[in-house]
Amino acid sequence: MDELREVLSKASEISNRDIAVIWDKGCCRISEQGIPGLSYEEARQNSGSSWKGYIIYPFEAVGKTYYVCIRAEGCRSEAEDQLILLAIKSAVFNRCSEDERLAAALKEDFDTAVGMRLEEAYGQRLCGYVLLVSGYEDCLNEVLQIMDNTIETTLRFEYEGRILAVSPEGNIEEACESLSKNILSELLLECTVAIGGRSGGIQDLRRMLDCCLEALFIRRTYGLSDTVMNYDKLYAYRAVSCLSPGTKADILAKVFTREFKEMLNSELSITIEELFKNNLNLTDAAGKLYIHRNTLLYRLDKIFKCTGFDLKKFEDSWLFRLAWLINKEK
Amino acid sequence: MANLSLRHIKKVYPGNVTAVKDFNMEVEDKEFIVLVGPSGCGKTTTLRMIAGLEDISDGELYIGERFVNDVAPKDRDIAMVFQNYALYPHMTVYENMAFGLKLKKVPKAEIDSKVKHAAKMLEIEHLLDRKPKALSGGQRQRVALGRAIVREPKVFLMDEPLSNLDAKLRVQMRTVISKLHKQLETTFVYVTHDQTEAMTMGTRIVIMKDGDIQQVDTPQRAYDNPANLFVAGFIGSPQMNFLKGTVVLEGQRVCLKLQDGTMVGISDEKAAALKERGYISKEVYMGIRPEHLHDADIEPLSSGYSVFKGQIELAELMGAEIYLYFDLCGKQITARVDSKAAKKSGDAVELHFHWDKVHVFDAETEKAIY
Ligand SMILES: Nc1ncnc2c1ncn2[C@@H]1O[C@H](COP(=O)(O)OP(=O)(O)OP(=O)(O)O)[C@@H](O)[C@H]1O
Ligand SMILES: [Mg+2]
Repeated sequence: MDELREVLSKASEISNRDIAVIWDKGCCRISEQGIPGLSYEEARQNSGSSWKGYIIYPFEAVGKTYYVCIRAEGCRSEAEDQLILLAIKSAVFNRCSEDERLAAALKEDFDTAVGMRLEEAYGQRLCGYVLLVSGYEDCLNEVLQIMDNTIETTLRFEYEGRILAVSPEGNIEEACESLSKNILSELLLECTVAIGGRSGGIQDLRRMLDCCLEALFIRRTYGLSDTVMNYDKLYAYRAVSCLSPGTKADILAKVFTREFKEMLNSELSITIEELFKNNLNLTDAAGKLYIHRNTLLYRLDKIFKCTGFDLKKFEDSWLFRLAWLINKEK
Repeated sequence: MANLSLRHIKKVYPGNVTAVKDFNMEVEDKEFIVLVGPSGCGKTTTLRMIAGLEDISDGELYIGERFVNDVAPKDRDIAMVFQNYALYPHMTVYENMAFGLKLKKVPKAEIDSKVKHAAKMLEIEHLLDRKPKALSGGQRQRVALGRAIVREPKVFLMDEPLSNLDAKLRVQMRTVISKLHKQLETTFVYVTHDQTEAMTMGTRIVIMKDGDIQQVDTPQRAYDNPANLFVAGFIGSPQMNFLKGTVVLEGQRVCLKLQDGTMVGISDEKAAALKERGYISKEVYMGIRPEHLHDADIEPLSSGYSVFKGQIELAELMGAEIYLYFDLCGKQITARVDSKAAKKSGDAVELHFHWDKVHVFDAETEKAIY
């Protein structure tokens, strides 16, 4: 018998009253008849008051709400109820898997005691790169299996519709690329893998999780198509997204003049992207675009004429790139 | 097995980048279609739309008889292979190929026969017990192909699968993939930026630029009759030589007069077309492939030819052939001649070429004139 049932049965025996615990998609009760017809919804609505001869006490544990229903009749005392509640809380907490406790701790503020308890439970398993895999639709199990066979992880569980994992791999970016490629080849699903950074314990884990979420946010905001997003390599985007709206508008106005906007077509966009991709190396960019270097120079000259920015110059090109990124923001 | 129908397919990315403008093409069952073109021309985007990984902004896509615009990739009966494929490092080759089927809960015996069949086709039966680490780059690539084969898709989609391999291996894998296509009798759509790959593998090639189809044709026809200046330059290596010239009448003959006065003859058909379409006295581009220039010393032509004369700036010995570079009308011209010529830089050279090897393009539209 699990601990919760044991506690319930003992408490009900000692107090000689019906007791039940109810939570979303589950409940635990002892007496044969149970508590007739009490649904989670009803418990939630009557939480903190009495209902059909029961008192309903709410409490939170590991990120979930539980309701304890104790028969109100008989010789009851407030103190006895509190004691029963305490015993049940503890049993519920013990009942949760470590991963559920960790997930809950990541969601809400937790105290040092909880932190220490988790550190102790997980130990070295919290140390490594924090990853967040998203976009697997209804293929969680398949993705987990592919993950297990592609990348070493010390920890992984579903967290708010994504897979949170810690990996000790050395070349983390390559490992994540492999993961996303394997998922794509096997399931024809394009998952995104965010790399938050290296964690050394529970506090880091939370920070790195936030980094993962920010990386995903950046991906959406700037319409990036990369499937592996390494937070540590997103400085340019992070810097741009931090600018004040006023500054952004100023920079944008400086580059995206009326003439430039009129001139900007797909061909020119592709040219600009390719130039950035090739580190402003004109020969390489022209080669990739299969145009003559002079054609490229001519296009850059057109940009210069209507924006005043000469993309061959460092000073101009980085400010231009800033505007280019701001323009992509959604 | 399936045909593919791409009807006025268009892709506009956020930020108003039109990556594919109006892709219209019927791919027959069992064809090997190669999409080729420079960076950013929309090859990958087109392939991803066929796969369902990218939304189609406009137009209709059919696989077989089925309208698939809104069908999820996994329900399209396709398989993909790309440049940076990955394998499962701790599994054997056999397990690597079997894993996808296991995920789909295919019965064991069926998996076994499929994996063995694919391994045989790829000639990696003797490697089935090895781990990826113990394989060469080419062998690993075969395993990646094997993983796609066991799915038995209706259409294979490949995005630059060979561009990470070294030159020698690339040549070898080209043959492997071509052979595979013949054995599988399935439709292949293959993306590359390498025109040699396109020429050697495709039953038809689609040459793209800036999201537009420039020409769809067999490799031979694209080489013989490029539709425009871009295709002419992109297909063939070394690149076709281009020179500006004016269409003139010399007596009854239509000729091209180059800037330095050199006269170039053209085929009767082209002459007729130029005359008919009012090109006399107009400027055009002429094109001649390096391999169609013959060293007059060792293989002189006897009739229906014109002559380029120049002084060699650079001679590159390539084995059986030698590439000669010389200047004409301020442009660098390349000739690919027999190395028996034994020419070196500084030498004077006379090159003959047949009139019917001369291409003519409109100076403004850059379209070929037939
Ligand atoms: N997710 C995206 N968001 C915005 N623009 C994109 C996206 N993906 C591609 N593009 C743009 O669409 C155009 C076509 O890209 P695509 O990847 O199809 O080219 P490609 O022909 O495959 O080039 P390459 O040879 O470099 O692989 C490019 O200008 C590219 O920058
Ligand atoms: Mg591509």
